[in-house]
Amino acid sequence: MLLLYLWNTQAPGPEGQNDSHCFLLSSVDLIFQIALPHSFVTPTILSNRFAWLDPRFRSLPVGMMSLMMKSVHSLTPFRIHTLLLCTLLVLLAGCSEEYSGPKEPHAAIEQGWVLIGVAEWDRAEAMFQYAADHAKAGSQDYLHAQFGLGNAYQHRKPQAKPAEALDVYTKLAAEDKGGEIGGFAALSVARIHHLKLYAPENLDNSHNSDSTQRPMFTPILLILSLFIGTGAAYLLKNRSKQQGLLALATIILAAWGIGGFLDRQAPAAADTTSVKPSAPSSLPDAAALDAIRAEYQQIVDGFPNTRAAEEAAIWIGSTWIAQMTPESINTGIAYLTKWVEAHPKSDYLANAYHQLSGGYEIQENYNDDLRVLIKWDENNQDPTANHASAWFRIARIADLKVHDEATAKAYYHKFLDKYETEARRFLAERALQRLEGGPKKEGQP
Amino acid sequence: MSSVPENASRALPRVRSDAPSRWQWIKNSAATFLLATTFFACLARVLLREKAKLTNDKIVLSLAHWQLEPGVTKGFDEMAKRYNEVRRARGDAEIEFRQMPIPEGAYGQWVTTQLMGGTAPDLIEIGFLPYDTLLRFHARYFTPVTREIFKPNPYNKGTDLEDRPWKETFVDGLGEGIPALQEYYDVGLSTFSCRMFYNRELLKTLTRKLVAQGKLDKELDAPPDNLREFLSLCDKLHELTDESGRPYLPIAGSPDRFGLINWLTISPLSAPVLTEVDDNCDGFANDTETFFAILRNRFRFDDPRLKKVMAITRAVTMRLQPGWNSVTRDEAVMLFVQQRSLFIGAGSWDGMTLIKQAAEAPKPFAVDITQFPMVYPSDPEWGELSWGRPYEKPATGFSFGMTKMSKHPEVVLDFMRFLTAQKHNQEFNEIIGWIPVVRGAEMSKFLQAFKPNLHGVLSGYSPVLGAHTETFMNQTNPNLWIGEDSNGKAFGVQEWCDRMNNRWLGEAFIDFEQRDEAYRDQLASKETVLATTRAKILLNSDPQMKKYLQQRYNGAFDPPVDAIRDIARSRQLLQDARAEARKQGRLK
Repeated sequence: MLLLYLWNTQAPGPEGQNDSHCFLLSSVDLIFQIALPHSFVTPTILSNRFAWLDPRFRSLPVGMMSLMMKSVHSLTPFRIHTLLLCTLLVLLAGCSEEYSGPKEPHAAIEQGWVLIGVAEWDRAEAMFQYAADHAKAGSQDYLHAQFGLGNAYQHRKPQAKPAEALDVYTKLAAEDKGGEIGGFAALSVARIHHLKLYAPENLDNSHNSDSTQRPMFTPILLILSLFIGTGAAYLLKNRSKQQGLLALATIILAAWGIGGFLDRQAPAAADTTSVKPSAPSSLPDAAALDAIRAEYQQIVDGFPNTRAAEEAAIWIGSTWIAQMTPESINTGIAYLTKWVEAHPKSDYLANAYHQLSGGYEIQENYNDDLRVLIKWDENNQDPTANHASAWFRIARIADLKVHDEATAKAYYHKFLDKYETEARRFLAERALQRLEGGPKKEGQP
Repeated sequence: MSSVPENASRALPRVRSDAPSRWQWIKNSAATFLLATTFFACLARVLLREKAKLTNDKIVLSLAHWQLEPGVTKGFDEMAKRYNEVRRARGDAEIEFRQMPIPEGAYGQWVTTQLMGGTAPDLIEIGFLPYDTLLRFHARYFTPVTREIFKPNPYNKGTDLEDRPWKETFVDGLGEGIPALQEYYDVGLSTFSCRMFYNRELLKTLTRKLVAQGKLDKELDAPPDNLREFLSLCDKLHELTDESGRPYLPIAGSPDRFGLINWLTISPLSAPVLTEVDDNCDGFANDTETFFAILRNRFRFDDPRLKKVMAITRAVTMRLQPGWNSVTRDEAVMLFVQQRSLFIGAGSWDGMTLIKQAAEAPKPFAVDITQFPMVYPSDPEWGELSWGRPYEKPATGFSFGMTKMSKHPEVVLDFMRFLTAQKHNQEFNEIIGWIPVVRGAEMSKFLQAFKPNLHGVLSGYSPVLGAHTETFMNQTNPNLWIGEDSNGKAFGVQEWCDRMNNRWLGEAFIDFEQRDEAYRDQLASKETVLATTRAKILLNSDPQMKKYLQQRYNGAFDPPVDAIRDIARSRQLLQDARAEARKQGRLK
């Protein structure tokens, strides 16, 4: 019995699903445990006993058992029956699910990612945990498993586990220093910090929410008080008419006063003609963005020649632009321009051009916007991508903003030749008709 | 007290009739017998089916859809037969084709049960489930065809599509697949469009009468294409009465039928305001651009062009039958089938059914199809609004996905390719009476009028930002359509403009703020798409697939970066526009 007890108190923690022990053994042990002296069975020991249970169910048997422990040494038939019922309850709550995924760590990792794709967070975590436990420490599979686990924590919905994710990522970045996975882990840390700056909690728009209804306490309380007051007045009519009327008036006045007070406490009615938008301060300030950029810079420096470093560089440039001051936008454009020159073969070149175009668009600098968009197109990094929007936009900017007719015509034609069913064909045809004086096209009466 | 002696019962003779008679016994046991028979019959059926499954060495290809029209089932059977001929010719084993038409009402539940139970057919028509559910189902139960979609369809050999990737053979190029999963799963078989159906015989008869009365120059066998002339004809037709003395109701209306007229005749008329609204030069007037155009006073709801569009809207709704806004789609069809109306808007998917209903009506008649009328540039009042007919997006519909339960995925994939080859897609759609989805596939003569217009115009503004503006528009527009507000007061174009100018911006502010919050919420989801694609790259060993995934990844990398910039930019623009509006006294 003692051996059984010792074995069971070594039960794994909540994550120890893989080693969950047989419910029968636990139940037998539990019953033996009840027979032990009172002082020997503490709630902590009981908690350990139920460690294999889902935390949501754990408190119920533990609570019930603790109650039963009060005079455990005098076992009456009634108590025995109750204890057996408690045990049955525990059995009904069920054991934790046995790990049922692939046994091979690499397959478990792949399965884990499929599960993330279908938002099965618990199972994804279990897969990655299994893979991490069974892969050789320091191996690629081990790193992938840890990275997957961090992602399962980070992307979990509706409630992410950022603290757990940061813990896993930070360790991983240290373990795979300079490596691809380490770089992405470090980048994920920076991303979590960056996104926190734009969390909805930073918005001050409670006055615009749907809950801002017209205050209704006064009318509701007045109607109620009319009923109560009329009843009171009726009851008092035999004693004194004045008292009855006084009671009615007092109740109505009290309702008016209380309703008014509550209305004043409630949010103001939504006045749609003077709705206040959130303050621009709902955007992060320069100091917060500087700190984020410093994090990204650490990735650029600490994980050179990795894709994570390239992504981090794009993020640095884009955070300057998103800071939205004329100076910061200039800084962002300069940073990205320099980066593009230094990384002509990067996979992220198109992304850098895209961000540059975004910066120039904010500045309404259409000449440079057009220039980088054309460079982006000439780079043709992804021939399989749909270029319709980009080509149309190049043509449109050249046509309407820069008045570069040759470029406009060339791109309108390119767009029309390739995209036979595109929604903006009519606009392109209409523009070409204006630029080239062509015949009327189909679709026009 | 009873005085019956104790042994009295023993003294009584045994009455045989107390025992159930044979007939009684049969009656009592009938229910048990029936239950047992049913149980064993079901058991036998299940066992036989299971046995057939185990012993059937044929390749079974099963397909589920909700199209109960006879043409569709016939079309699939015919195509399966032709597919078998092809397989036989190349020496492959024939398939046994089974289709399961499931009623619309139960389709979503049925698909869910089959997928979860692992008993789903090989191919499933996609629909009748919420987008989020479909997303999860795709990821879990469907096989992606991404790898194959970039290779040519072998069944297009000898056609102009021979060397083009399978993806590009579809009229819409299959779009981006399922962006959240960065994969392609579904392949469509048909596309759809809407047109105006009319009763030619009745039109001829009535216009003959009008000619006789001197109200019309000539008898017509098709409605005028010019909107002004069409509306004038409607007025004249309304003056005539049927055999029962009831006036004709020229256009059969219901909210969804009017929706088609609104989409195909009225909405393109707002195209000229695009110049003021389209700020980023992408050719679309999105809701955010509309919001800022209004806020910055670049565009107003009492813009003379918009006022004309609203006047046309009212002119059209006046020609619909009274109470049209509260009748159902089928009630409108009844008006048309009973020959009380001459014109009705309908989709190509409804075409065959409507023609059949007309042919089987108490007074059968033939149905013809034509374009919705449009405003002509020569129109003295509305001409400046006429940029052309609307653009009709040739979106792929009637889409099917291959489930992971398929025992012969290679055959299923081959059958999908077969159905979407230029020639076969044309044949299939010819049988079912729908529009082919593959480039170059010709549609049947009856459907020629449904040919989507790919050189059309889009609406020039988009006033719905979110729930508040949508509700507001849904409360305001019907007043104009009916011509009076909820208090019975006249509500015309000017009232519409005033209400929109006074109240729309307030609703839009709330939507804008709520959307800003939603965008911030979605930032994390955008990262999830990126993370899953990144994992696929890191874990993939096929260099070709790795390259493809890296390209998809780079494509998916922009949205999260853009989203943060857009949040910041919108906030800045809002601040600047509000300051400007306050300065001009347009905002408190």
